[in-house]
Amino acid sequence: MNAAQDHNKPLGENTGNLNPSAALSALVDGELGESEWNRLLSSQDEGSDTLATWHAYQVIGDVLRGQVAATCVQPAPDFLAAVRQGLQVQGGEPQALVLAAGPRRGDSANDAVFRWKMVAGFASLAAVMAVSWSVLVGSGVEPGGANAIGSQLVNNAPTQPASVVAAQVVPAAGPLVVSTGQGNVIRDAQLEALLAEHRQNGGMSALQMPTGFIRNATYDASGR
Amino acid sequence: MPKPRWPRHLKSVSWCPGGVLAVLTAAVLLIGPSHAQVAQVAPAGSRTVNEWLTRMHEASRQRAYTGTLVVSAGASMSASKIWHVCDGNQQMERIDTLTGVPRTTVRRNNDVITFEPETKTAYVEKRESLGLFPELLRTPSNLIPQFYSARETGVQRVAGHLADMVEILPRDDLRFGYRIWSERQTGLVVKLQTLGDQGAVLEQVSFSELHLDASVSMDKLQRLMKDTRGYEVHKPVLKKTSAEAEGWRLKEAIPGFTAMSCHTRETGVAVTPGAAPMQWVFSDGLASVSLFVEPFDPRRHSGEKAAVVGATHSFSKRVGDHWLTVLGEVPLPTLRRFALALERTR
Repeated sequence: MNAAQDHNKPLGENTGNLNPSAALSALVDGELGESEWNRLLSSQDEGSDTLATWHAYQVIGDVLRGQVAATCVQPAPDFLAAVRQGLQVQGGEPQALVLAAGPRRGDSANDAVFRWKMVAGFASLAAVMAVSWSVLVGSGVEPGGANAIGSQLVNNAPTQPASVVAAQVVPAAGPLVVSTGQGNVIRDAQLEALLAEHRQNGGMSALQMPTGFIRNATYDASGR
Repeated sequence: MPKPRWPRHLKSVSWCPGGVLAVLTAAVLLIGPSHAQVAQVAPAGSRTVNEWLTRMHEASRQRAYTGTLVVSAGASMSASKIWHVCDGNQQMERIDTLTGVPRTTVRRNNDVITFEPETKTAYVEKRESLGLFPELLRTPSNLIPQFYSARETGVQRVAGHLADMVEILPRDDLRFGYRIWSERQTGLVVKLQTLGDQGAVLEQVSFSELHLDASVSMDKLQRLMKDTRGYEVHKPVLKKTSAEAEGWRLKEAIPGFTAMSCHTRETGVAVTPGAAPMQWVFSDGLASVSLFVEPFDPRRHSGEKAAVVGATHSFSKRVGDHWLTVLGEVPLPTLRRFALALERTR
């Protein structure tokens, strides 16, 4: 990136001359000197410009490295705004939740030092981006994901293509079929009822008394 | 008229989210055996399949214990706390679920009561199947040795106890095999795996913690069993019948499987005679298969389908004016043979 060209010199040589934007760029590249880092932190506020610039640099870096489809990534401020809006819709700001949860803790010992807030801000941002990225990437059903749900039944019917990723809701009394990479996971209430009856009355096995009964009494917990 | 006992998930759409904890525990359990301490044991004194099964059964009739049991079937994982006590005449057991819906099951021999504290509901049942073994092991009708063989494969530690590993393997492909860990001193089953094709583990049950000869009060369990105050008590009613009386037969026997019981369930709703759902149970001594037959209902029943959870397979299809669901801890082709063999006699 352009700004990075300005500081291809040894660290600390030009740290006194960078404008905030260039300093932020240097920070992205991990080339920001300590004094400039302090200056940058003290000169910034929590305005959206800094976040937007930070995000833009991250996207540019990613594009240059060819790592992500940067256009798919929602700018962090937009994402955060959406989260805040969502919280409001659900009835209250996060602050209200904290207050409701109990007496507020005293300020941290390092609360007055703004750079820690910035560090925390960047860390949060990085976390949010990491999570949102994994959500975007993982929005397709992973093979093990849907399969991890309870005692669902994996349909072996060969007529259903296993590769189709879709949720299909069939009329009220019928089973709910969710296709996954590992087959069709069906939620069939009728079948589950029969399964329960089989376990209650059909456990005709020499292994029933030492193990089968306690196994069924235990296992049903997830099936009911 | 008592209400039928429906599984809880029928009342609620959301059931059993596979929790992260469960997945982690599953991973630990699945990885466990490969790292477990293995020692070779001398093949001397190897027991027959009957001897092993009798020994395992006797252990639960003679020993008291408490422990935590973990069940892993397919992708799901359940756990419970177990108390077991016996006095020669009777066995009592308490099972508190630690996962899913809170539930306490108390058993005295064949009598079972299940408390569901969240709904304040208790279900009282008599499980006749519990009294059948091991008496059947001693009778000529015991076909287990004809269809399964046993071999000892070593010694492993399970839940802190040394246990003999025994594989009970099928002699044909109509049934699954089992790998059983039987505590060395008592014979108690401490771990059991159901094995599919090429030894794949389809399902497993294991104690993660076990205290043998623990102090368990039978009186306390008996009081607990009787104390239904505040609970709405249901007694599901099963009506004994025979497949013949209901108008069904198998035109071809499935090798090793014998008809064990047949009943219809009172649903609380008036139905025309012969229209109540029928459950016909078969067993080969280790694996059991239920044939459920009910009137065909186009709103609820569609085309042929097969499903599986853990070692339990199911196969459903239309048979004339009826809908058949065959369900059991056997391979799918075995269920298909049952489905093909079932025919209406009137």
